[in-house]
Amino acid sequence: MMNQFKTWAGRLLSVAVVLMATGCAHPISLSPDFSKVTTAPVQKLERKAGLVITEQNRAREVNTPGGGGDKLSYFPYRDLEVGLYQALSQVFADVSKVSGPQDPKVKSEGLSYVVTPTINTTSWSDSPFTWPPTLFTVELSCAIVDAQGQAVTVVRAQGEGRAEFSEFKSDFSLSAKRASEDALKKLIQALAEASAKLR
Amino acid sequence: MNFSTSLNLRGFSLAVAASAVALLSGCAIQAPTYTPSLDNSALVKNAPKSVAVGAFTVTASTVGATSIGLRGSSLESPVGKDYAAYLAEALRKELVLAGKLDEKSKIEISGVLLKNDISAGGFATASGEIEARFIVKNDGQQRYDKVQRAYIGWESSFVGAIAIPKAQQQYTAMVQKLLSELFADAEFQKAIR
Repeated sequence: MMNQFKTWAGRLLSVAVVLMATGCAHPISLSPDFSKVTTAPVQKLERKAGLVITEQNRAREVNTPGGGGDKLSYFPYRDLEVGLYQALSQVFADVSKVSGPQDPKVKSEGLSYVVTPTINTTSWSDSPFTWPPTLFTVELSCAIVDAQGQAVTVVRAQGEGRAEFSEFKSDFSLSAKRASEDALKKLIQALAEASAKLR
Repeated sequence: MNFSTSLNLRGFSLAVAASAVALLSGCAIQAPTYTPSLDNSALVKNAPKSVAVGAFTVTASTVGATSIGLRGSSLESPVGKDYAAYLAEALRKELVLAGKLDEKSKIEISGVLLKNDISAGGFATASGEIEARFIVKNDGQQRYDKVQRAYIGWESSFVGAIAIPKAQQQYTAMVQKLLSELFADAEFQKAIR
């Protein structure tokens, strides 16, 4: 009888633990250490740019897979807003946040370009027991238009971040932060390479 | 059921309870490193002069001076000894992003943290509140002395494993909002000219 009780109690406990741990969307952050978002110096353009990140995008919560059947939840535009600003600031003479090409600041501040980023992410974990992602990717696509709203170019960069249990046990967002840092560094290089179209 | 079976059952129940407690019990976690906000930096970016960040203090009896209770866990500052240090660091980061930090400037912002709390006990919603007194001095002359406060609410969960990290992440947004209130104050903008 005792063994039967133990078996059933053990099963109940297992189910309880699984219910507590799975099906959840665990919040993580994509914000990298901004002091690391630098590359070898690139020649700055003598042009000012506006960065468009709408309130709707800032508030957009994204869910992608983690480990053990769980999901991750995060705000890519809110988390990468400053990183994108820093990346653009390394290429353009000055950067301001604007609502779009029609924003009065485009004219009053003499902005030459308006940059609208699109962020796509993926995540994955090879662990059936732990939810933090072991692999994360961040894809940045920046549509650049001139002050009149005419398309100039689209600059793309993709970053990847990996983290194993021994590393992420003190920071569950580690692979995501690494992917963001990698993507932003590559974006600076991609913008520098596209500078011929932006002079 | 005999006496020894009863003891075994009690022991097993205690083990189950201990496991549950171990799964649910609190521990000390750190608030996220502060991330500045573009909207905040835009409010001070065009200030004619750079400013310095002076002393930020908090009395030990202030709510959330050194840690914030989150369902049995405690949220602690990742910088300095208390949350006054966190607020000073947050202000520095905003000013760095705006290109307006100069630690040798005669214009100095100092402050006192008056309240710093998160209510994460709700099953569906949670909220946070922060309050601080900010003082601006220019060459030793007081130009501004005002209390600013910020309140934010967010969707939470009955599952602690979701509610606690969510509250942890909202801390930065709460401090961002406090600094937004400060930077947007016309009297503050006049004081740092």
